[in-house]
Amino acid sequence: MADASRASLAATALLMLFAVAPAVAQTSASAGCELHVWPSEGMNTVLQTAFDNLYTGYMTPGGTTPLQRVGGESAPAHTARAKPEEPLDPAAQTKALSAMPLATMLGLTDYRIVLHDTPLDSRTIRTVKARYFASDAPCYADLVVSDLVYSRVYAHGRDLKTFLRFRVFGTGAAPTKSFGTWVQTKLDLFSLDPPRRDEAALLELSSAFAANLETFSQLLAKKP
Amino acid sequence: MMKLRKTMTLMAGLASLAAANAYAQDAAPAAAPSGCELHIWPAERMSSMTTGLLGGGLLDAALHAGKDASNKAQLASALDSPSQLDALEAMDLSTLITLQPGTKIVRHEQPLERKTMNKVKTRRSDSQAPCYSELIVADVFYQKAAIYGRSLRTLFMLRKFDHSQKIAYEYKAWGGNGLKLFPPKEGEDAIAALDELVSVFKKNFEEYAHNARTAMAAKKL
Repeated sequence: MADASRASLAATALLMLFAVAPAVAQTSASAGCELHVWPSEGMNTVLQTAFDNLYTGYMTPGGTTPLQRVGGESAPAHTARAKPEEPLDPAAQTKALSAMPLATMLGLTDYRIVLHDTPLDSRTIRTVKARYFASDAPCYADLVVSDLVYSRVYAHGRDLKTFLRFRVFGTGAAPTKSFGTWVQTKLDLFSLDPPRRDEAALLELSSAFAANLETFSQLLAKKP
Repeated sequence: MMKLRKTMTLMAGLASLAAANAYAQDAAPAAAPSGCELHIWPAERMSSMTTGLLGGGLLDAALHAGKDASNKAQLASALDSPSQLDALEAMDLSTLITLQPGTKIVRHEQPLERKTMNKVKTRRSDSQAPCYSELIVADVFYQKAAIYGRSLRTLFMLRKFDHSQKIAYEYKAWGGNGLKLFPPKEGEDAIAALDELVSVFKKNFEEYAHNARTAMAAKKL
C-alpha cells in the first residue's frame, strides 16, 4: 500500500474518531449509566407577518380564498435554516448545556453526562430507533436539541423555541421511555431584525435556552 | 509538529473530498441504464393559516399569528429538505408518475427559490440527459378552518423536457389530506404529530400523482 493511502486511511480513522467522540464527559457516575446530549445545528428562523397569507394568496383582507386562486409566487418563505454566524451555534449550546445540572433536571441522578459537540443530522434523529451512540452501558439515555428557532410574530413579539427529544434505554434495543416536545421563552432584548446582539441581549438568549431546558424537564417530570 | 501539520492537511483534503462528494449528485449525475433522470427538489416555503369563526382576514390573522408561527416552525422541522426528499424517494416514483424503467433519481438538497418556480422555463440542473424530468415541491401549507378542520396541503410541479430542452409537459397541482394529530397540544408529546406530517405529505403526493397520471393519459403521454 502506498504511503499516501496509508496516511489517508489513518486520517480518515482520525476524522471518524472526531465525529463520534464525545466532547465532554461532564460528571463521573457510579452505576455506569450514561446520558448522551447533542446540540442542534444552530438557530433557525421563523417570521410571521400580518400579511403572510395575503402575499401567498391564501387569504384576502376580507377572508380566505380557494386554493385554486393562489397566485403569490413571490411571497417570501419566512423560514430559514441556521446560519453559522448566528448565536447559539453548537459550541455555544454545548457550553450552556455543560453549565446545567442536566442529570438532576431529567431525574437521572446517577448518570454520567456525555456531551457531543457535533449535532446529529435530522435523518438520524428521525429514523434511528436504537441508541444514537454505540455505548454498551447497561443504562443509557439521550437528550437531543432537535431544533432551535428564533421566532418573530406579528402582534405577539419574539421568542426562542426549542424542540427537545429525550429517550431512556435499558438493556433492550427499544427505549423504555421517550418524550419530545416544543417549549418556548419570550425574548425582550435579543433581536435578529433589527439586530441587537449586545451583551445583555446575548445573555438573555442564553438564559432563554436554559429556561426552555428547565420547562422541558418540568413537563417530563409530569409524564408517568 | 511536521506530523501534525501533515495530518491537518490530510484532514482538510478529506473534508474537501467529502464536501465534493456531497455535491457530486447535483453536478454530474451518472447516467441510468435508460438514460432517464428525475431531479427532485424540496419546498422552501412553509405556511400555516388558522382561521376561526371570523373566516380569515387581518384580525383573524393577528389572533392566530402565534399559533401559525409555531406551526411553521414545526413544519420546517418535520418536513425539512432531507425529510421531504426521503419521503419522495421512499415511494415508487416510476409507477406513480409514469417514468421510464431505470430512471435515475437525482436529489437536490437545496430548495429552489420559490419566486423563480414558474419563471424559469429551462432545466433547473446542468444535466444534459436526453430523457429528463423534474419534480419540484413548491409549497407546504397547513390550514385549520372552522368548518373544514385541519389539513396539510402540498403543491407539486412535474416538468418533462423534450430533446430540445423545452418543457414538453407540465403538471402543477395540490395534494391535500386531513390531519388527526398535528398540531400537538402545548407541552404534550409532539413526536407522533410530527411523524404524521411526513405520512400525510406522502399521501398528498400519491393524490397528486394520481391526478397527474390521469392528466397525462388524457394527453396520451
